[in-house]
Amino acid sequence: MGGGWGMVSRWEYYRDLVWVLTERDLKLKYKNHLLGFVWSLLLPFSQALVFYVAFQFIFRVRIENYAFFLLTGLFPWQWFTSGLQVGTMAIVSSAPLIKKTVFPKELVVVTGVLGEALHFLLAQVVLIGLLLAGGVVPAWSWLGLLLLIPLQYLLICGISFGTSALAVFFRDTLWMVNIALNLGFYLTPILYDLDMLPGGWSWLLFLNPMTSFVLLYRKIYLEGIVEWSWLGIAVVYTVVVLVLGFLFFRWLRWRFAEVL
Amino acid sequence: MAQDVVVSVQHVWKEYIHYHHILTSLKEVVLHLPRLARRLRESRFLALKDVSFEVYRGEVFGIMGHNGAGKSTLLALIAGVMKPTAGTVTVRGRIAPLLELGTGFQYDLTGRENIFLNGILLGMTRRQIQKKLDDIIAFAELEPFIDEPVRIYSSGMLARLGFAIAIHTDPDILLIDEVLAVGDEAFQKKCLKKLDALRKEGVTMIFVSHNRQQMEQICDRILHLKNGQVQRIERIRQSHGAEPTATTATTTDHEEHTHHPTRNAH
Ligand SMILES: Nc1ncnc2c1ncn2[C@@H]1O[C@H](COP(=O)(O)OP(=O)(O)OP(=O)(O)O)[C@@H](O)[C@H]1O
Ligand SMILES: [Mg+2]
Repeated sequence: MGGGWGMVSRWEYYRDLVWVLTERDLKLKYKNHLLGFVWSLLLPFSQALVFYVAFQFIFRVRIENYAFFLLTGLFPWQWFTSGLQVGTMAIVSSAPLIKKTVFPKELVVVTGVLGEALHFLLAQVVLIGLLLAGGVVPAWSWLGLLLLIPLQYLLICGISFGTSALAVFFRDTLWMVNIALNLGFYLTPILYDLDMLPGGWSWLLFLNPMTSFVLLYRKIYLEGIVEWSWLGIAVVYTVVVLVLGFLFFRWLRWRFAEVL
Repeated sequence: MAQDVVVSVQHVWKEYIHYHHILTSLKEVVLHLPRLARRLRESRFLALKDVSFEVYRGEVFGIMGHNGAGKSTLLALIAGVMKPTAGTVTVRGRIAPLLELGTGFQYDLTGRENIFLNGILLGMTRRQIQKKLDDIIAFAELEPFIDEPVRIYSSGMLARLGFAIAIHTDPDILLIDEVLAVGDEAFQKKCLKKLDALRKEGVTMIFVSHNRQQMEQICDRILHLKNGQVQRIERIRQSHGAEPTATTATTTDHEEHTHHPTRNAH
């Protein structure tokens, strides 16, 4: 008998489950790391610094407030990258558990990405501090983040369902993901803006699901506007990716224990 | 026959696909297509062939057989971590984690963290685990090491920890795959005593071991597996609840044969 199931609410159990698994991911990540979380902040900041110097002083890009322009795009991208990297390896790195215990395997993907989401949230706090210090006026539209962030979370989970299942069979999946992320970085309007592309071609960028997300974040922060058409695109991408990724995962998951 | 069946394995087949075979041969798709077809056929391996048996409540059931006979595969199917290719496995009750050598722990986490991780995946809340934490650590006798990463544990220490967690999760069914073998003599004795107590409480146990003598001491029945097929099921003693007088083994050596369908009669 489960030690008194009747007395314990399901809620308490699921809360603990998510807690313990997420805590595990963070602990595994920061074992023997002196600065821990600080590194995950320093990475986008150092990137921003490099890009800022390169594009402001060398290529002389004419974008207002280029530092904030960069930061508002780099942080969501950084989360996308780290979330996918963790998510992709979620099943493989939980092999000992999956081979021995029966539990919903989706959970390790979901909590792995959640750990990275927490980093992103903390980074957003830092970013908002910077924005306010830099004279950006907060707007009601910032509440749109409460929709946008969960949406991006689901998008990352959706892709991770697919790649984590694939990674069980092909360990090189992470390499492919990393290469795709490298290319994806330049195919997302992070360093540049949509209107800097030669006329009529900007729609191509929307083939990349992260384009609408980065644009949304930026417009919310810097212009105080939630662009509904972009939000629509983001929702469609998220739903499609989530459903496909989940189905793919379900199709393969019962073979995980024997292949790992 | 009036006994409760807690584990029922009916005509179970298990086929493994050796993906490595297929994957390394991806190159050959271009070069030698016929060879690939052969590889695909060769890459399938029948680990279990039409295995059927039942285990009753409170019984201690042993599985023996040579290396590669399919014992661990069978336990994994009962534990539910794998699915049979054909046939059915029905389990009534709560199963403890599969006790196997070398798995079940995240090597970079400490013993304590692993206890929480295992406990939660078995359906316990943090509060429930916290309550049993001291008992688990004490039973495993790992106090000085419990906050060290499991990576530095010896195989005996890992087995202790796994065993201690498993028996403290209030299981109805325990699956034990050779873990006792790596414990030292004192710990083996302690485990056997604990298992005996659990058995009296009605916990069902399925054991895999190569130690014939030990198996005869603790098991009510032993299934002999050979190349994935049931050879025979040997009754050691009149089943559960009976006082486990270890030395009365093999007095009644009458055997029980399982029915083989004609296609794999051997
Ligand atoms: N995950 C797997 N993928 C492919 N083949 C496997 C897998 N696990 C086991 N096998 C094969 O299935 C057969 C049975 O393996 P199993 O581990 O069940 O044997 P066992 O009886 O437990 O042996 P041992 O006494 O050595 O522990 C072996 O031939 C093995 O190679
Ligand atoms: Mg084995």
